[in-house]
Amino acid sequence: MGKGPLSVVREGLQGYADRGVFRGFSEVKAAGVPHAFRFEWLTKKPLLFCVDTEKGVLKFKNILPNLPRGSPMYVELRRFLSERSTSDVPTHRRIDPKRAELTCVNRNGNVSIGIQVKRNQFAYGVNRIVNVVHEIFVHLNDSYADYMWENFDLPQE
Amino acid sequence: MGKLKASKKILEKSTETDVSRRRFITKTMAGAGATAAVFGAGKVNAADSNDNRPIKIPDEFALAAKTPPVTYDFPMNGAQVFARACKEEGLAALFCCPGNYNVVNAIAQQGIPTYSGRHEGAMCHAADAFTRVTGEVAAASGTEGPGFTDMICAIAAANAARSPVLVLASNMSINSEDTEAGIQLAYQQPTTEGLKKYGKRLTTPARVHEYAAYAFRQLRSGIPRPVHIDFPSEVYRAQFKTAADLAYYFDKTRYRTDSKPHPSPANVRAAVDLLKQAQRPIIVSSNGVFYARAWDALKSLAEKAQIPVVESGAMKGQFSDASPLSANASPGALASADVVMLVGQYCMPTVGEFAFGPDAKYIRVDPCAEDIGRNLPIDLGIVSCEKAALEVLADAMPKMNHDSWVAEIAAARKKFEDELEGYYKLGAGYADAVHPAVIARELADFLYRGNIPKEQTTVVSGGYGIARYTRRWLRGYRPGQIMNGAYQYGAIGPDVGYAVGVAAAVQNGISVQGPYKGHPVVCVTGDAGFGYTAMELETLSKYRLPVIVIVYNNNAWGTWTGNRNNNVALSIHLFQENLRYDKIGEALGAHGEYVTRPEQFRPALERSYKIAVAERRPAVINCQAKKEFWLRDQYPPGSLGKVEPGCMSYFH
Repeated sequence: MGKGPLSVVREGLQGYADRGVFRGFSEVKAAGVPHAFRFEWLTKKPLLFCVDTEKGVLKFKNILPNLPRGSPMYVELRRFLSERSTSDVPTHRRIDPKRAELTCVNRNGNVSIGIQVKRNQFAYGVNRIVNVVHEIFVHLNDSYADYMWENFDLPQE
Repeated sequence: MGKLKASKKILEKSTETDVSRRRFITKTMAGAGATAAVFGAGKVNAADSNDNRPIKIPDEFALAAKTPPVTYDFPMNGAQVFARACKEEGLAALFCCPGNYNVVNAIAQQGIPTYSGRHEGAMCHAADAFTRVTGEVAAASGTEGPGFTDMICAIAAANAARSPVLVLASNMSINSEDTEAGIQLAYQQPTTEGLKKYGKRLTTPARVHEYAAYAFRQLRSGIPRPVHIDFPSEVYRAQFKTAADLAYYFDKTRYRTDSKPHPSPANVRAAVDLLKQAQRPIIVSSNGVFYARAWDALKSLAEKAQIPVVESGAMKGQFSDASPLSANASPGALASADVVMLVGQYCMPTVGEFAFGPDAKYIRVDPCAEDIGRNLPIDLGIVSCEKAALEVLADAMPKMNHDSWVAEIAAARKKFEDELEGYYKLGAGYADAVHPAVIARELADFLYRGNIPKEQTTVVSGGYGIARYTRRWLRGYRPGQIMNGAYQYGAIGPDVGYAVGVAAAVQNGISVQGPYKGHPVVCVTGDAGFGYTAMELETLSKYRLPVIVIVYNNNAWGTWTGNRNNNVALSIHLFQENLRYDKIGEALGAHGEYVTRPEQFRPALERSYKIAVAERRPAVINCQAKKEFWLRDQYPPGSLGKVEPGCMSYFH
């Protein structure tokens, strides 16, 4: 009997917490989603990771605030996510479209980034979405430092 | 009316005495290997009419240069005992302002290169910079209270950069402690709490040599950081007829050791296993590789196991950017690394500050166990001298092949450089002011792709906004080539002070600067930073330290963008526009250039370089920009961020 999807997701996330990548890792209740986890990573702002195993959705909810739908930065973000499945990306960083697809939802400027898992590939999904979000923040620190200062309280100097 | 006349008179007088560009007629002073004073005896001709008096280096500098150094022996006073210990420990330079006379004089008279500047803070920054490009211990000195407190920012910056700077200050007398008799008494040691590795107010004259030993034991072992010694008059004036008058007086081989920790065999096996299993390993080379002089071992390991190297730290160049294994300009590849070996990374990033992905495993090599595991969790910690660890690992690792990983690094480098080229084209298109991408690219072309060998010029990489561009283009091809100005402490303003220290190291050919002795130095700074230490142009000029100071002048602090929508607060961040920093340089004995259009920058740089070579005179290239260059919507690409580690890194 294999592990259930939620256990797989929990184990995947817990692995990052055990290795010190995530801090303050805990399972929490969140409105509108069956399961959610809260932790700190990359910045001091806590992240909410929502899980819907029935729909196969793993999502960092409202991970990027104050990002208008028509802004150049949002357009670039969408393009970046769409390119994650192309051959321009090294194989070990690519999203295999047979196993998962990235999602991006913008509600009133609050952007959620997630992954739609296919064929029960939850372990793969956790690993890929965590890595993709890491890459997004590296890019933001590089090219949108002012956005990071203003929205994540990073040092302006 | 009377006032107007008076103003006019003042203006006329000002014009009469205004220093126009003058040519120093002094020949290049003899070789940079001599002490600082050798560079005296310069003159400036009085080419102008109207009794325009020349800037002149006093004859006393030449006299000082001719005076042979002294060797102290008993009988000695306390200052001489301490200075003798400094000499025997190989103190490489002293940067100071007047004050703490007994100690400073005793150090200088032994022939240790000594530079006196215009502000103790700038001189302490100079000592910090000197250590960062030589690996040698340098001292900074100031007088009692004010001179000492002037150094605080610099001590903090040196502490954050993990620089072995010996901070010295006089401090009145034990006899008058707590009385406020006279002036300038201060409790110095509590003031440097948290900013030093070790500190001591000397209170027992007979122990002065013992505390010199304490100081150098700390400076030359473990993780280097500043050591602060304050001298009351009872100590520096104490007389010692023989060694028997001193409580502890013996050779350095008896009060400290040069022995270094070596890695345990079990740790080496574990590291080799991790590295062998890795598909995309990478080495982060930082301060410790430089201070341990471990660059040859690093190269051996990297080339044998085909492991790319990326640099971080207070100085760069330990691993040549000419190597295909250099990942300094491949920020896009860092997230692919699966095993990261941090070597001598004394200032640790927290999770997320380095671009390595969340699945990466970490090996950390550090000489001090206490710090291993701080901030960034490890998979393997190795307590060892960096050089010893790299040598052992180079022996233990099999020859390996990571061709596809190296190809990924190369592709990321190409993408990064293409992006830079795009920035340059955008910047060059802004014709009415000098964009930072133009400065960065033209400077890199001049330094690395022009007529001078690419490893020749030592660079002070400073500034705030401008640095976000120039760092991307600057490269290191040998140890000590780049002094990473804002590293960790992020002070705005030390840059011209840093330039004094770097140029002193190059002028004297100290340590790894030996092969590049006497060559001009380049310093990048901004208009905000220039304001803090610009008077040190006089120090550069006085000592014939040929530094080309590139000032990015955008009429504002780099922080203005965050306040652009606040009508009241915005003015806090602005200067008068179009200030002539080049004329400040000229007034202090430097060559000046004012550059207002992109195509003017390269010729100005070439003229300044020629003058630096021929006349050993510093230069100020005042690059007139505009503050709006930081606005992406008006002048793309606007203000930039960074990816660490690599060429852009300065936080860690």
